Amino acid sequence: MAFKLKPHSEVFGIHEKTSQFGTPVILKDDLEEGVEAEANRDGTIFVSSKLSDKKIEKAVAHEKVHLDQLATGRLQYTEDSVTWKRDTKSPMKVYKRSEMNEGHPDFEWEDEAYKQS
Amino acid sequence: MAITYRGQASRLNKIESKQNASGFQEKSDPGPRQGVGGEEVSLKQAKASFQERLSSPGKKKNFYGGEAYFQDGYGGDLASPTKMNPITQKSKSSPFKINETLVAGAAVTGKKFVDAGAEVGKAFKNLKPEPKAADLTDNKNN
Repeated sequence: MAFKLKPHSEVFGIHEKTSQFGTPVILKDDLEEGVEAEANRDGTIFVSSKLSDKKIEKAVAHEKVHLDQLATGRLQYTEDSVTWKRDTKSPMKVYKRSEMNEGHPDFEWEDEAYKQS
Repeated sequence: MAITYRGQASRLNKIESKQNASGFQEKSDPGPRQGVGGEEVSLKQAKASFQERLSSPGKKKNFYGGEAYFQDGYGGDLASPTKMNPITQKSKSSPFKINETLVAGAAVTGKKFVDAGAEVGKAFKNLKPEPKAADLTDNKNN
């Protein structure tokens, strides 16, 4: 009996249009309320499945800037802190995640991401 | 004793002949290390001392004797990737998120948003008008 295989993107919940090798864009429906996308330091990007394709593209472009910041070692995060060092000449700043408003455009890394995406 | 150019040249030749006993294309034994920091390092000894160190999983010491501190608490056996904790398991939620309430403004997206201006305005709606104050600009009473 013949059967049709589902494409792997459908099986794993990957957004094929924006995914790249090493940077899979994973559709999620359990992100926090109001959150459109997240960049993880393992190179993955979580995007809300409720968004339109156009909005996903915009969100992925933004999150890719964060991935680039992570890859160059300027930005890093742990369970309870975010570390930012703009360049080799600027001081390293450590923010407590419990005290900060995550994703706020006033942060330097966010400002950079909004300008570049 | 003054060193003449010829004397210096012959000395350099001697040094060079010792250093390059075999031509650069021929294979040769590595020979003793020269220059700064040429002390013998025992890898076995270094490994043994590395094993002896009792540090928390969050802190791993490197081979140079200093402490390499992994902020993400990279724990477990660094030598075997199967026993190692993956990074994503340590911190599951990312702080780098597009939060539409922050970008578009809470008034557009938030359900629980309260327009403070409007709320305050309501309180003033039924307020009686203030009594008119006497006009003292001109000297009408005089």
